[in-house]
Formats: sequence, C-alpha cells, structure tokens
Amino acid sequence: PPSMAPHPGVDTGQIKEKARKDLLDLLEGVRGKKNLVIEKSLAGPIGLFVKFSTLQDHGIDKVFFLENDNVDASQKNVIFLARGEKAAQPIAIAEQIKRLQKNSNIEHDFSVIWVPRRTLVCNKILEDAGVLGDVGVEEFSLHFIPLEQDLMSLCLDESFKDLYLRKDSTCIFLAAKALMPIQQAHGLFPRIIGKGDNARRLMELLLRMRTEQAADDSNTSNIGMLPSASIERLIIIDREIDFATVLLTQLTYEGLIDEMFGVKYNQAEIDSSIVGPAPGAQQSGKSVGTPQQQGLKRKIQLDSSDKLYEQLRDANGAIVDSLLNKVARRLQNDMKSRNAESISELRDFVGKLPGYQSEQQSLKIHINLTEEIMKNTQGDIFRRSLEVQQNLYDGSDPSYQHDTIEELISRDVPLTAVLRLLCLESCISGGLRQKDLDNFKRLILHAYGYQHLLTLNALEKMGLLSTRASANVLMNPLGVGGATAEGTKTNYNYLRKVLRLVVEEVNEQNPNDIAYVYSGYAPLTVRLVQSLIQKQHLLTITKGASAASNGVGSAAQGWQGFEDALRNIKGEIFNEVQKGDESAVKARHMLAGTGGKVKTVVVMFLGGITFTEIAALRFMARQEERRRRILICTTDVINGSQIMDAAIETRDFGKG
Amino acid sequence: SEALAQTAPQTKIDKLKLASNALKDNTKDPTSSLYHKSYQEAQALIRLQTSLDSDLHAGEKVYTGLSLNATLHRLILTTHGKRANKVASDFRVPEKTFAWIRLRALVAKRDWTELEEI
Repeated sequence: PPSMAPHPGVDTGQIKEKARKDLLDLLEGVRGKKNLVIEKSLAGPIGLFVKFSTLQDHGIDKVFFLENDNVDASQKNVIFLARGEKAAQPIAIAEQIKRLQKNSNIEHDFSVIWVPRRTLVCNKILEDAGVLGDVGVEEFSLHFIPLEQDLMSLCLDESFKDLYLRKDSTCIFLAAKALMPIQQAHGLFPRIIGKGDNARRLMELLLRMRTEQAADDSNTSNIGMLPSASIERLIIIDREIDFATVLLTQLTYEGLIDEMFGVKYNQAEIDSSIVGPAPGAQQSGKSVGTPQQQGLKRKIQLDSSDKLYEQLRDANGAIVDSLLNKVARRLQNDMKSRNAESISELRDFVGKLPGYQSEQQSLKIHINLTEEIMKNTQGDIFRRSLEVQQNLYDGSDPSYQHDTIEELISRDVPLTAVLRLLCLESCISGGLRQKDLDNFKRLILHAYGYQHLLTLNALEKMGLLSTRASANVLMNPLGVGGATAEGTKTNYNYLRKVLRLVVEEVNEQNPNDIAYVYSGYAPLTVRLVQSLIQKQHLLTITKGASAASNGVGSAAQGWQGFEDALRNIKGEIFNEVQKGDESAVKARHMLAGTGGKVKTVVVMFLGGITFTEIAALRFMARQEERRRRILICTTDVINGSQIMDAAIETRDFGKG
Repeated sequence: SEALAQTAPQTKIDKLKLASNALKDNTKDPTSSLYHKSYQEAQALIRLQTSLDSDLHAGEKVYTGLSLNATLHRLILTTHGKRANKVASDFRVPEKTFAWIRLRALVAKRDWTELEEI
C-alpha cells in the first residue's frame, strides 16, 4: 500500500540505520570481547534494529538481563545498557558492579551506556555507591524507534502508568527530545495543534527548546529556524482525552492478535501447538531479545516484511478468513500452472520457489492463528463482553449491562476483562452511580482479593473509574450555553452525535469509514485528526453536505467547525503557528520554491496508541495519499489490558 | 499496602487494622466507609483462612492468599459445602454470585447428583 512508501522529509529507514550505527560504534568503543548486560525493556526495542548475531560480530560474548542479576566474570569487559530516567536501573547496576568487584578474581573494566541520556539520578546513585570513578559512562541517544515506515515509537512501556498514575511527565520531555531532531533536520513544524493538557505541555516544551537552541547557535546560519517545506504540521493527541477507545476490544486482525497473545515490538509469542514449531534454521535470525530459549512458545514476526500479513493486519478480523481463502487459492493456481516448456521458463519457476515457500509458510501460520482467534471470538465470554461494549457505546442505559458484568465476575473471568468493562461504562457515561460502584467494588474484592482495594484506588486516580457527579451531566451537553465545566470530562453521549462515533451501516469488507476497526465505532482520537485534515469530509458526514459547503472554508487550518465538540472533550486545545525569520523564509522561497507537493503530517500520541487507531489512521492515509502522508509517532503501542495492568496490584495476602 | 509485605498473618491483620482505623473517623465520606468495611472483611478473611488451614490442612498454607470466592469454591470442591454456606452468609455474598460459584465447583468435581438438585 502507498502508506508504506518512504516519507518525504522524515525517512524512518534512515533513523533506524543511525540508531544501529550509533549503538555499534558505542560497543566498538570498548576493545576486545565483552559481556553485555541489558535492561529487559530495552531488549525488544533494540532487537528492532540490531540482530543478536550482529552484536556477536562486534565482540559481544554473552547477553544478560539486568533484572536477572546474573552477569558473570567470564569477560574482563562488562557493558551495561539501561535507561537512566528512574532510580531502579542505576541502583541495580551499582550493585552488580560492586558484586563483581568483590567476588571476581580478575579486574573488570566496566562501562555504562545510558539511554537516551545520562541523568543526575544515575550520576548520583553511582557516586553514592562509590563506583562512578570505576566506570566509563556513555550516552546512546535513542529516541524514536521505527516499527514500520509510517510508525515510530519511543517504546516507553511504562509511559501510560507514568503519565496518568504516577503523574510523572518524563515521557513528555523525552517526546520533545525525540521530535526536536525532526525539526532540526527538516525545519520547524509550521503548525503545532492538538488537544489535552499533556499535549499542551509537549507543545510548550517544543517552543522552549526551539528558543534555547536558537540562543545556542545564533551565530551560525541554521535551517532549524525556518518552517519546514516537507512537513505540513504536528498534531499532538493526549491519550487522556479518550480512554474509552483503548478499553474496547480491538477488532482488526492485528488488534485481535494483540488482545489474545500480545504484540510487542512487531513480535508475538505464540504457543507452538497453535502455529507449529519454529523451523530449524532460525538460529542466525535470533534477535537481541532472545538470549534464552523459550520452551514451547514460538516468536512470530509480525511486520510488513511478511507481505501476506501486511494485507491482513489492518482488515477487520471478521473478513480475514475469506482473505486467506483467496490467497490460498491463488497460490494453488500459481503452483499448478507451472507447465514449464523451455529451460528458461523452468529456471524462472525455480527462481520463484523461495517466494512461494515463504508465502506458504506465512499462510500456514495465519490460517492457524485465525482459527485460534475464531475459537475465542465465538466463545460465550468474548461475545457477552463485546455485547456489553456495543450497548455502552450505542448509548443504551448502562444499568442494563450490570447483570451481565456481575455474572462475568461470578464466573471468575480474568480481572482485566471485568475492569475494562467497568471502566468503559465509567468513561462513556461520566461515572457510575455511587451505589452501583460500591456494589461492584465489593464483588471484585470478594472475587479477586482484597488487595485490589489498591487496584480500584489506582483506577480512580487515573480517572478511569469514577462516580457520577449528577445525573444532569448526561442531559446537558456542555458547549451550548456556558462553558463552566469545560473540558473536565469527555462527554461521549454528546460526541456520539456530533462526531458520528457510532456508524451502524459499517462495511467490514470494503470499509467506507474508520469505524470499521471496531465494527461500528469510530475512535474519537482519529475523528479529531479527521476534523483537522479531512475537515470537509467529516463535516459532510456529521452535519450534512449543505452545512459543509457553506460553513467552513476549505483553507481552514485549525479546529473550525468543531468547536462545540472540542469543548466536550477533556483537556486544553491549542493551535500554534511557528514562523521563521521572515527574510530567511523569503530567501528560501526564491532559492528552492516550495518543495514537494505531498507533505507529511506528524501525528504524535502521548500516552500510547492502539493497533486499531493505527489502522484507522492508515485508512485515512490511503484516502489522502495524493495530498499528504501521515507519520504516526507514539510513546508506546498499548491496549486495554495493558492499561488495566498498570493499575492492578500484583501482590496478594498469601505470600509476603 | 504495607500489609501485603508482611509474612505472618497476625502482622497483616495488625497493619490492616491500622488502615481501617485511619478510615473509621472519616465515616461521612461514603467511599472511605466502604473501604473501612473492606479492611475489616480482609482481616476476617485472613483469620478464617488461618483457621481453615490449621483445621483441614494441618497448618499448611492452602487457603491463605485465596480470594473470598476462591475460598468458597475450594470449600465446595472439597465437600465442605456447609461451611461454605456459613462463610457466604457471614460475608454477605449475593445469592446469585454464590450460585455461580457453587455451579462452577460442582461441575469441576463432576458432582452430577448435587448439580441436579440446583
């Protein structure tokens, strides 16, 4: 698909290559053989651009996980690779250095590579431990890691918890740090527009960093002071404006794989009883993330290098089996029609065989996966919970769903599933009634343990679960009269209508609207992006053709036409134009014209994005391909179970 | 949350007591009164599980750490149905919930005669 073509301006391939080169250079900086101790949560992301075998080529003997605390004395050189933003990693590193110093017979050379930067915290901790003088310290400024050509992630797997539970804004800072190099390379984002309080903070940080930079290199001529010719704008979305979307069960193929098996860094670990054992000759392709064998699980690569998967991933799960059927038939025909008459035809056919083979391999995997997914989606519990979700976003009285939720609790379905439904109800209807909420809390504590008092507390702190302030909230949409409580809660009941979140006649086979990703529900976040870059289209489907044509000019660059909707969504709005030095702008115009016609829109999700939202944005990107490209950036790829896990207390009263 | 880190049942109970007492003065707030009650229930459950373990499992920690519903499930599964009934009523477990727990437990132990009586 066209969305996979390289982006003008921002080339994700280049970013990947640079990350690879930087890391290998840093490792080369330590001469000779060495052992590498890596933070677990970095192994997956790094595996996206460096293979394990490549590390071996660069002198790495063994790889250890920092968390396992098992680095041995087999090499003189020991390199630690970890994030430096929190205290846990430097503390662990200091302890392991001290352990080796004490127990080992040889004198070690230690170095620490901090990702993405050396912080005061890590200096202080190493200093207090008395080891700072013994280690070589380096920085690996790894920011965005490309997952696909149109998708980059900071791979901060705690960013949701940090932002909304711990109220720690480090990831906003890291996002700004990651976006700045894009401006340095391609010019200023001509416009920064977005929604949500954290999004606003990111915008302000970007402005401040730009001024600081200008002060730093004021004497050199710098392209960074000019608005970009290849980037149209930066759109920043704060996850907090729309929690409901994450809580719904994702219904695209990739989304379903994620819901059932978990997809992390383009890989899923799946039972080999489902997809068959890994083919024998896989050793060389082993990535950094797999220093140890993993028993009966098999890692499946899920990215666009698998051409079949590329076609399936963003389709609605309900049609995947028919797509697979088509591919199977085509393959069969291709194989049959090989009546090779001449030597050259035969050579031709033999040349294609590896292609057929890998396609067949992939086909087999996806048929098995689809079968497993269908087994699950046809199950009673999946259906009931989907039914509750659909009734909730359709706007039916939530109390009708309570019996079903109670039943699911009594049947001991996983806690995450129950909490997702309750939080969804809370988000969509502006909270539960006190009496109902208390009742559910009691049921949950009985069924899953009293330690979940803490879980429920965390959910309330994040704003995922709340009591309804008053019944009137439902009846009186904001924005009509005064804007007293502007933007404190997202009012889905109002937005359902004005942004057409529910699309009943959705076509799953040939999608006509982004709502296909949830079989009839359009993610609010992506509707907001549409209100900016597909304004006329969205006005037409929400207000009718006449309103669209005489309402807002097609040149409108801001939120025009959707002000009422925005007032009913949590958080601040902003729309900042970044102008360069005027004479410089003029000069460039004369020198270079306006650049390419197709510009890139960068969409940044703070707090995480789901695979369904990615699919919806790609659907938009295909419609827009002649005018613009969409580059999706995020702090992490998330799903509803993960955000519940951020709150769930894992200890219980058994052990201690 | 400190209570979770304690090993001995008695210290766990003490910590929970502290927490529930802290909330007791705050009875006007409906949320904290629910929490206060839950802390007390949590203490009662630990006491119950300690005695179940010493009565039925010679002190081995079998019940300790289970949720209330899982405790009931286990009691029924191991043919202590009467005791389960009493615990359910002590903790005011809703009838429907208890019926589901009973159903699941009886299916798990393939007790068709009891199942037919439901």
